[in-house]
Amino acid sequence: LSEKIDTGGDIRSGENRDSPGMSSSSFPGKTVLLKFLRGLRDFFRGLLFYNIGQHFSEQKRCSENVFMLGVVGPLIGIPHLFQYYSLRLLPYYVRDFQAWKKRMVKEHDFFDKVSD
Amino acid sequence: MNSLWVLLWWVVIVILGYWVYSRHVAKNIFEVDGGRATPAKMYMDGVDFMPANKNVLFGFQLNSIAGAAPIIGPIVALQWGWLPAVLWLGLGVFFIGWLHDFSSAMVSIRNDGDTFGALSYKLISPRARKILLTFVYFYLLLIATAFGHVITSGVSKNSALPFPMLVIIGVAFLVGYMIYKAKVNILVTTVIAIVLIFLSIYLGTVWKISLSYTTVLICVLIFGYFSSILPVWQFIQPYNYASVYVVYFGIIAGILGLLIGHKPMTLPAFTNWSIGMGPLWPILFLTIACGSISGWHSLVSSTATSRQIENELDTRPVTGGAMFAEFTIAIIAVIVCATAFADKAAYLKSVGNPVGIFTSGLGSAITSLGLPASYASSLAGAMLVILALTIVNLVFRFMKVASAELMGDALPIAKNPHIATIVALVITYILVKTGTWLYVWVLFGGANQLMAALALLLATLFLAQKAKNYKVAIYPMYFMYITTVCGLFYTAFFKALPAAFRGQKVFGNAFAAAVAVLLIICALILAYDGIKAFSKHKAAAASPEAQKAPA
Repeated sequence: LSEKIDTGGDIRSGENRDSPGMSSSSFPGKTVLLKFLRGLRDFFRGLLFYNIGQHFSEQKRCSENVFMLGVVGPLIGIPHLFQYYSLRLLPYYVRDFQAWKKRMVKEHDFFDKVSD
Repeated sequence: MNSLWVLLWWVVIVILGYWVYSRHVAKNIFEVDGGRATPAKMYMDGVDFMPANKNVLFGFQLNSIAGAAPIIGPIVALQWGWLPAVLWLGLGVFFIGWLHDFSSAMVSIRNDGDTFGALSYKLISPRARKILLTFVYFYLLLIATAFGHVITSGVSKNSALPFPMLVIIGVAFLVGYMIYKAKVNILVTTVIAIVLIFLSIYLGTVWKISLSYTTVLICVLIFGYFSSILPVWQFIQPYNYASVYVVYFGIIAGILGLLIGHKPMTLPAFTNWSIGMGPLWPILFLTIACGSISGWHSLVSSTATSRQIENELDTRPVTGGAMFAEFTIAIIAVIVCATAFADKAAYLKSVGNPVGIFTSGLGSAITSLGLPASYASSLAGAMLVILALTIVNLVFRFMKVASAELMGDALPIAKNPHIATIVALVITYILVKTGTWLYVWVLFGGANQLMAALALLLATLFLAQKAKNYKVAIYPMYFMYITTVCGLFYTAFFKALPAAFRGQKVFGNAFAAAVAVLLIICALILAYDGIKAFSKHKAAAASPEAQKAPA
C-alpha cells in the first residue's frame, strides 16, 4: 500500500526527475508548463499524502526496532527479558535446579515408561 | 473601499517579502549553501532523516502550520477595524514571520537536525528547555480552550452543523479502516469520503439538529479523549486527511468568490485605539499570531522539516513560502469577514462566535459562485469547525506527551496516557465553561508569541555565534518579547483579575491570570538566560581563536 500511495522513491527521490518528453518541446513554454505541473503534483502529494507515508515508514521502523531488540539487544546492553526474570527467580528455583537439570538431560527410553 | 486594494497589498508584501527581502537575508546573512550536506543526507534513516522534494515539503509544511488560527485571529482583530489587521499581517510576515520559520529550520539544519528543545538546551541554557516545554504545555491548554469554545459555540448556534460533523467523524473511522485495514485503493477511498462529506453538509441544511452548548462541549471532549488514546491511523490521521478536501475547497471557492464578487469592505477601516479587549498595542499583536508570526511553526520547522530538507537552498521556499501561503489564508479571512457585514454593530453582535462571522463572510463569498446560500453558509461553517476540531484532536494528544515530559519524573502518574488526557480534558472543560473566551484567546497568542521570541532568540544566538549580522533577528525578537510580555501583563492585571474581583467568571478569569503570570515569570527567566548566553556567544565569536577558524 505504501507504494500505491507513493511514499517511497517518487516523493523523496529529489527534484531532478526530467521526463523524456521535456527535451523535445512541441510548443513554446512546454518545459515550463511541465515543470509547473510536476511541482503542483508534488505540492498536493506533500499536502495530502505525506503524513500517511510518514506513518507507514514509522510503523515499519517500529517493527524493525522490535526485531533488532530481540536479535542483538544484549549487544548494546539491553538484556533479554527472560534472562532478567531468570535471575530474579533464581532464589526460588536454585534448590531444585540440579534435579531438574538431571531430568532434562538424562536419556529417556522405553524402560522409563514400563512401570506406567 | 474595494476589497481588491487589500489583495494588492497582499501582492506587494509577497513580491517584496518573498522574492526580495527573504532572498537577501537567506543569501547574505544565513549564507545558504547548496553544496553543504544537510542532516537529511548525512543521517538518512528512511524515516526522520530523509531527503524530500521541495514541493512535497512545501505542501507538508503548509499542512502542518495552517489551521483555524490564521482565520480566527484576524476575525477577532476586526474589532479594531480591518486596516490594523491587514497592516500587522503584512508587516508581521514581512519582517518577522517568514524569518522566524526560516531561521528555525536553518539553525536546526546547521546543528545536525537538532530539535527545538535540544537547541534551547545547547544555545541558551539547560533550563531553557523546561521553559520551552512550559510554554508548549500552556499553549496547548489555551488553544484547546479557545478552539473548544469556537467549535462548541459554532455548532450549538447553527443547527445545520451537528449532522455533517457527526458524519465527518464517522467518515474518518471509515477512511482509516479502508486505507489501513481493508487496503482499499486510496483514490476510491478519497472519492467515497468526499461524496459523503459534501452530501452530509447538504443534508445538514435539511435535517437540522439543535444541541445545547454543554452537550456539544462534552461531545468535543469525548472525541478529544479518543483521538488522544486511539492509534493515529484509526482516527486522527484519516480525519485530517478527509477534512483537508473540505478546507481547501472552501478556501479556493472563497478566493474565486472574492475575485468575482469583489465586494466593498463594509466594516470600518479603523474603529478605536482601545476596545473591550484592550489597546491596539500590544493586544492586537497577540490576537493575530498565525498568519503573521506564530511560535508553533518553529517546532514544525526545527523538528520535521529541517530533517528532510534535501538542499539548503530549498529551506527558504519551503518554510518562507509556506508562511506567505498562510498569510494569504489570513488575508482572505479578513476580506471575507470585512465585506460580509452591513456595519460594525452587526459584526459586534457575533464577536464571541467566530464560526458565525466566518459563516456569514465565506458563505456570502461562495454564494457569488452561484451556490445556494444555505449550502454555502453551511459549507463555510463546517470548514471552520472541521479545522478547529483537527487542532483540538491533536492538542490533547500532544498534551499527553508534554505532561509526561514536564512532570513525569516528579509525578509518575502523569506518564499514564489515560490520566494525562483526562486531566487535560477536565481543565479544558472548566476553562471553557468558566473562562472569558477573548482573554483566553489573547493568552493563547501570548504563549505562542513567547515561543516565537524564543525561536528568534535562538536565531540571534546562532548568528552571533557565527559572527554574522544578528540585527535581522534581534530586533524582531525584542519586538515580540516586549509586546508579548506587556500583552500578558495587561490581560492578567487589567482585564482578567479585575473581572474576577468583580465576580465575573471568577474561577476562569483567576486561572487565566495565574497562567499569564506564570508565562511572564518564565519569560523573565528566559530573558536572563538569553542575555548571558548572548554575551557568551558574542565573546566567543570575537576571540582570536574563532577569528582564525574558517567560517
